[in-house]
Amino acid sequence: MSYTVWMIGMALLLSLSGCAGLDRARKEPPTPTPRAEEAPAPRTPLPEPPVVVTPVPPMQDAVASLPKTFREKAHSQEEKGDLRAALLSWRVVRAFSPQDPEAGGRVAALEKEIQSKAGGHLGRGKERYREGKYAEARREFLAALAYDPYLEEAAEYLKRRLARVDYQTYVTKEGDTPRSVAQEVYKDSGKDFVVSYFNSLDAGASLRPGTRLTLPLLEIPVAGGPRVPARVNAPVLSYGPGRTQAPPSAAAPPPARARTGPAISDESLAEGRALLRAGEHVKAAAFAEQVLAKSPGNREARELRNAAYYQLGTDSLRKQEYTDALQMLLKVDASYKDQKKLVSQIESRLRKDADNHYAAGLKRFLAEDLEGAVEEWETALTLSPEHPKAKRDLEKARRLLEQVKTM
Amino acid sequence: MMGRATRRYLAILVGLFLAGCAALDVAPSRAPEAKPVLPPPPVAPAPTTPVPTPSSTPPAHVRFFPDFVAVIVQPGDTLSSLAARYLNDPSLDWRIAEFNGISTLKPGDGVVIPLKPLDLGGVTFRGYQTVPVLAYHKFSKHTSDRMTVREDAFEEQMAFLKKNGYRVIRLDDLFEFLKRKRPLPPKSVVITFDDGWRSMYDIAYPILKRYGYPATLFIFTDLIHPTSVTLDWGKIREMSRNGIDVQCHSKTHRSLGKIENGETLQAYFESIKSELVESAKVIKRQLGTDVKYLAYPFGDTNSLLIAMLGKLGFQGGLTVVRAGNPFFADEFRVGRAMIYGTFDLKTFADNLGWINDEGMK
Repeated sequence: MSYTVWMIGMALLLSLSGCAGLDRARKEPPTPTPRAEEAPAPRTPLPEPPVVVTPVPPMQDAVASLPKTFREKAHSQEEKGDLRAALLSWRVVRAFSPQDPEAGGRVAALEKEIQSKAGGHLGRGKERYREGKYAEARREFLAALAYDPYLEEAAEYLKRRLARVDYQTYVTKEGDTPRSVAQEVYKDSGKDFVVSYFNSLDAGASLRPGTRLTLPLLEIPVAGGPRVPARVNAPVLSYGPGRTQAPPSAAAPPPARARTGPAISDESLAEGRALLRAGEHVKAAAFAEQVLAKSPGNREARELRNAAYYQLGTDSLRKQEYTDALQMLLKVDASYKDQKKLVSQIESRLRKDADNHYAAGLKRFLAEDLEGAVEEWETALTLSPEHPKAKRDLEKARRLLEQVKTM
Repeated sequence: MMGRATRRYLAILVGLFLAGCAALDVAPSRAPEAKPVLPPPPVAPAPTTPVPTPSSTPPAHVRFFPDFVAVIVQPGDTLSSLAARYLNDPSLDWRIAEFNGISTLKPGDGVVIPLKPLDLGGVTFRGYQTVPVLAYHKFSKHTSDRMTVREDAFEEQMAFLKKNGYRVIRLDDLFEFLKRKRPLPPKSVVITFDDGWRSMYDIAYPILKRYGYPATLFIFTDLIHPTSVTLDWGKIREMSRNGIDVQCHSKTHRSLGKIENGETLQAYFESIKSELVESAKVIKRQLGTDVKYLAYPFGDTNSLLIAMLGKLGFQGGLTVVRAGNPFFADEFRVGRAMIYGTFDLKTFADNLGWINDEGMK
């Protein structure tokens, strides 16, 4: 071959990269070449730099050394416990030398180990999820994906089931119309236009029983009111046929006196304090929130926020609206006045209510009224999200319902 | 602790035990978008090599395997030219760099190019990948306030991204990542602008062009007029032809996520629907593009609005919650960090976290 001569010399240039591997690349990403960095958008590629004409060694030389490089890489990755990277490196070695016993063996062993570890985390994640321990479930699913990034079930749990809930479903029963569904789901038949719009129904349509409707939750904050807390990590609840379950009212709309928010032009808190003095607690809280959104460290705004939510919380407490009171007081710093004491009083009160609902659910369960039991236990969980028995039994009842449905 | 020799011995035993087992096949069959075994036709002209190769067989410096291609780097090859040739996308250069543990190429290097993504969500034992989205509003040559970033500060921030190895990606790329269709390079970041102020064109756009950074501009269409402080359609068209993606920020900039006091649910419902439909229509008429994403005015959103966006065919919504986005972020609650004119470079950099280990330990 004509190019052999110059290639022999250039074989000396052959220098393969070290054994850094995926691991280091993740932690300390390589500085991209200036050109690569300037042109991330494929749409406007920049001109290539002048080509440096350097002779190149023959394929055999450089390629022949690749298995060796990747074998070394694989060993160091295994030592670091980076199984996924090691598996890939071993696959490269094996592709080059299919008869290599070490490569073949390591590929098989690592595949098995990865599968079993990822599967173990996935299983534990699902268990934790069923128990309502969402933070732990999340950790397990992440670990499963760290072993096997293509484990779609773990990804699905993280992405869909541990996400915020925006919809509820309703399965129609005999004689349902958009109005009756709106009445049942939203407690207001006048909201039938929402039912119709999102399910492409005519206003007067009568619905075939067993149709699954998707309905958005209607928790719309009023302009100028306090922020509605994000309801994160809530499980997607499944609802039985012909009935529905309104989501726990963690995000009740603020009192109707809320009006459009004050215009904030600077960090002056005089206006906020004036609102507080005038008894406009919702507006004062919103004012403080807006200031804090812009400068989170503003102590005076924090104080104003505490005072406003404390007022709102104690107002609700006087009206015996315990969930609302708790929601407001939880926005108050624990060090503010008697926040801690009030919160614990309300929580124990809610627990007592939850116990009552739990007991009522048990009665219904024993009377073989599964749906009634589910309803009571869901209420119990709304009042006391960590109620252990309600959670366990609710799960059981739901499973039974599911079985009854599929019988 | 097992010695290496022992482990190798064990490995060989396992290998013998499993020999002949069909399940040993190289390719995991779960990859959602398996790349074709043979590389697609080159998108860039192949560098000329002194090797005269018959056209029916691959050149001597390339060897194909089912999952990857092994290549001897030729003069003129770069990570992005190899990515263009074998992965059909020059912006996938980082994938080659990462797999081989290298940052640049030298002629004669042996490089392995995996043909399909090794990962989709960026989850490792050290944490999971997050993508920050930056939000800017107005700019000024000499003065700054919260919503107005000074020209030199913006320039400094863009230079910081470049110097520190950040990759400015398109908003579309982020959404592909959220849908688990595309892994992203480490240190990916998205740049966005809100409202439609003239200073974005006068000051930020030339700087973006200079760096070759893509960006997304969210306009509320009622603002767009030929005045000294607002953008007009001519300038928006010019930018949209040059790497600026134009998306929706409503028609009037009312809060779409909050109901006004005294507003009925039905009135609110009709109002937000028309805000979305009308602004999308204007953008379509002016630019010929369909909008896909909404930046919520004031960052406000709620479940009804999200349901409506879905119904109208939007693919995502962006808040102003200061948080990076992992693959499992909600497409309709994408976090964005507002970059204020009052930020120093350190505060700016605090918004660029791209790996999160919270809850992993």
